[in-house]
Amino acid sequence: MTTKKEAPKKTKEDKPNVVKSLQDLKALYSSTDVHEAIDKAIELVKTNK
Amino acid sequence: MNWPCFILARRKSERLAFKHFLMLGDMPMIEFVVKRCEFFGFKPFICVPKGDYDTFNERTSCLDIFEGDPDNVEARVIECAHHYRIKIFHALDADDPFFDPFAVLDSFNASQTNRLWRITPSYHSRAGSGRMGTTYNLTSPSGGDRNLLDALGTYPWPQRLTVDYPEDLCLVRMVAETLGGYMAPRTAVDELFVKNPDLHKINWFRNAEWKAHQDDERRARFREEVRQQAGD
Repeated sequence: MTTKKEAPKKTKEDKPNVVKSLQDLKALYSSTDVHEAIDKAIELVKTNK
Repeated sequence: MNWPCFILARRKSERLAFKHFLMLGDMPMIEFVVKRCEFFGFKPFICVPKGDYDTFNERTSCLDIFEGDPDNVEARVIECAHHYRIKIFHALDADDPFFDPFAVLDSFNASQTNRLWRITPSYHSRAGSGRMGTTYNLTSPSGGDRNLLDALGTYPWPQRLTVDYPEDLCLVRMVAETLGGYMAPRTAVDELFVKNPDLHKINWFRNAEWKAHQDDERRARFREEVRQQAGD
């Protein structure tokens, strides 16, 4: 018989900051198209909260 | 009955290092896929190359982790099926955190009703559809292969969301944050992309700028490897 294993312990820092990672990605590109898409993604994440 | 799903993963990944252990929501990506399997009623089995067991074991709550052939994925999958005495199962890529559970069911059903041995949920499963994975039916070894159609009424061409590059990870994190994590229905994921077509551009890689970034990173990795070897 097997018993359920506990999920790995998580800390507050484990949760990535989605907006920050999108902003970091934006800094890598100069293309306006990509910038617009990332802005829209950030907006979606923010408005969802 | 919970249909078995084999989650294919490996510790090393060239393009995005240790991608299965990167955080998605508040859990490693491998755990995200395990939870999604359980949530949609599948029984997850993680299938990894020999030597990777410990690394995966400490990062997931999945009890069934199988180590098999280090090079040949299909051989590993078949070994895993023999080990657990499973005849019909679906093999999923662990880097596809928003796999479509209904595609898995379609594929299972087709394998049984048509007595086929290997089914992919769509013509494009191997090349880039949102309907990823392969169902194996070991009770019909001579049953032949079949690709099902991308026959979703509303969204005929589901977005592919596999995580191969940092851009994919950003996009997938954003989708997870917006749609509520591993429980998000695949239709909601596709709808998000239909309503916001610009989102494609985040991982719309095949442009010169992206290629230049990739080349830079590859060169940096190569220099690092050479330096480490010289140090050894």
